[in-house]
Amino acid sequence: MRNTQTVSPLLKYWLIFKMYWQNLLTYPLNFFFWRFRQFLSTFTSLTFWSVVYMGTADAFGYDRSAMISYIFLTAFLQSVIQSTLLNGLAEDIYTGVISNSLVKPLKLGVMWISQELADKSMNIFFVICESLLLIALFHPQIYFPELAQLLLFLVATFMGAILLFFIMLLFGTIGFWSNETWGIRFLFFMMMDFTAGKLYPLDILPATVRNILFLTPFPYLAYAQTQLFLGKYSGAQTVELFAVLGGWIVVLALLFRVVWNHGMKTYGAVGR
Amino acid sequence: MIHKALRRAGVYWTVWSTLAQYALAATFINRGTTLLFLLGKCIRFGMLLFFLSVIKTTVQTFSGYTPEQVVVFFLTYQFLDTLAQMFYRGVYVFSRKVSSGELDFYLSKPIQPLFRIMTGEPDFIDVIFFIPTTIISIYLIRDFFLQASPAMLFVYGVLLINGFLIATAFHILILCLGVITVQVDNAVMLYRDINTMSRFPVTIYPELVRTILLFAVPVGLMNTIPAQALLGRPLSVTFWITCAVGGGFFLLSLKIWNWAIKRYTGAGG
Repeated sequence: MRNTQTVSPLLKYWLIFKMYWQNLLTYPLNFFFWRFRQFLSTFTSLTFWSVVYMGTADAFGYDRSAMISYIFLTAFLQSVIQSTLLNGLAEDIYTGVISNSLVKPLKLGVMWISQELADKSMNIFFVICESLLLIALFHPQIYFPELAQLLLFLVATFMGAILLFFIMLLFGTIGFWSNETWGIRFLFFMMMDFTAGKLYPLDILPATVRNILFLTPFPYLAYAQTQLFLGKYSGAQTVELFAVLGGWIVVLALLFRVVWNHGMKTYGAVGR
Repeated sequence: MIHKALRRAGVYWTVWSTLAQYALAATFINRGTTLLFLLGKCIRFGMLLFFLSVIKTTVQTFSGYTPEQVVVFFLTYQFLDTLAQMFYRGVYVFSRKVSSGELDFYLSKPIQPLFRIMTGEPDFIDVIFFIPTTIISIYLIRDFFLQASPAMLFVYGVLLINGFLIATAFHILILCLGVITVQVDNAVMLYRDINTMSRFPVTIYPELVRTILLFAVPVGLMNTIPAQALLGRPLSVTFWITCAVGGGFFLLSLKIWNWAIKRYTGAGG
């Protein structure tokens, strides 16, 4: 049997990455259903907007090609940014299950990152396959930006994933003080659904509501990235986007550090 | 005979009402969570209504329907979907009962296990959500109700009952899947997502998908046909075929349940 202490850190977290891939495929039917659901929601949105564009050339400032691109982009971003395995963190804390990880020679942060990378890489792989199938079905005209813009989009997407990572960790810390954590997460996902959903872009909202939403992290979890990809941001707006995204990440990371340290002092490993 | 049936119904009512009281108490113990859930559901409902109301500034007709008529399809879907969630929330936590062996206890009780599993955890958050949203829905589409003849209203009512029967059948089939594979969590959400496809008239989909949604996974019969009946528009499937498929689908689900439960091995227990 291999001794864990002799395993290099990189290999250790690679093994965790692989283990999560295996975990995700333990219930293949469940996993298939999960991916099929994502496929269906993209399919429904594409059908809906295809019908809408039969009667008009422009809707909410999007032509057909931009809207179809928006739907594909949102599907991609939902897999990269919004997919997460950290939903169970709060439960792990209030049931004491996290003690198992705390006593192991592992860095919790790196373990969470490995687990998130496993989940996101699997989702990205499948969303690409599904998108190819949908492209074959709908023959859409998809907008493609220049290389520099594409790179900026990828950086913003990566930052969006980090932003959600810290948001989910903060939700997880609620488990230190309460076992009622699902309600707030449900509300968060509902908000995320309408601020970064596949069915319609945020542009349908009145300007006042949109401006208020831009004071929260929600538009930076998909919407802003789609606008960057579609070339709707000027140079100054792009700089502002990265500044705000970076600001949110720093603030939430610091907040998480404070809350986590405070929570660990109160942690009693209930039930263990 | 009738006396015996009534006594049996009384037993079921006692069991259900007792469990419902527990569920009600749990809803009010976790007031904060209940409020957050309600807020989330209201945002989802409100946003889609808002979206459908602003879409009319862009399009005049949508697959042959006016934007106002599309709202009728959405609200009919919303009504049946919430109703099913209200009664059948137990289905959502069924896999845990199979994997933990808790299902064994239901099987050994002198009451239909299917009844106990499906209706054992009524969702009062949905009840609280259901009442105002139904009132709002009726208000929003009052003109269609007022314009409809009594016969159209009767057909709409019968088709809604038929839709609820189809929803019940879907939940039974999800339970069957749970008994056989212990993998229900995404199956029930998959049903919800397929059902979500019918919040718009299924006539918008390509023919193959439309046929699937009408006959193979009949969410179209559940939601689209009643709305078409209320609007006085030609039905995609005739009234009698809709009812026959609905009833047949329900009976088929019961048959499959009887087959599946015989294969339950009490793996968790």
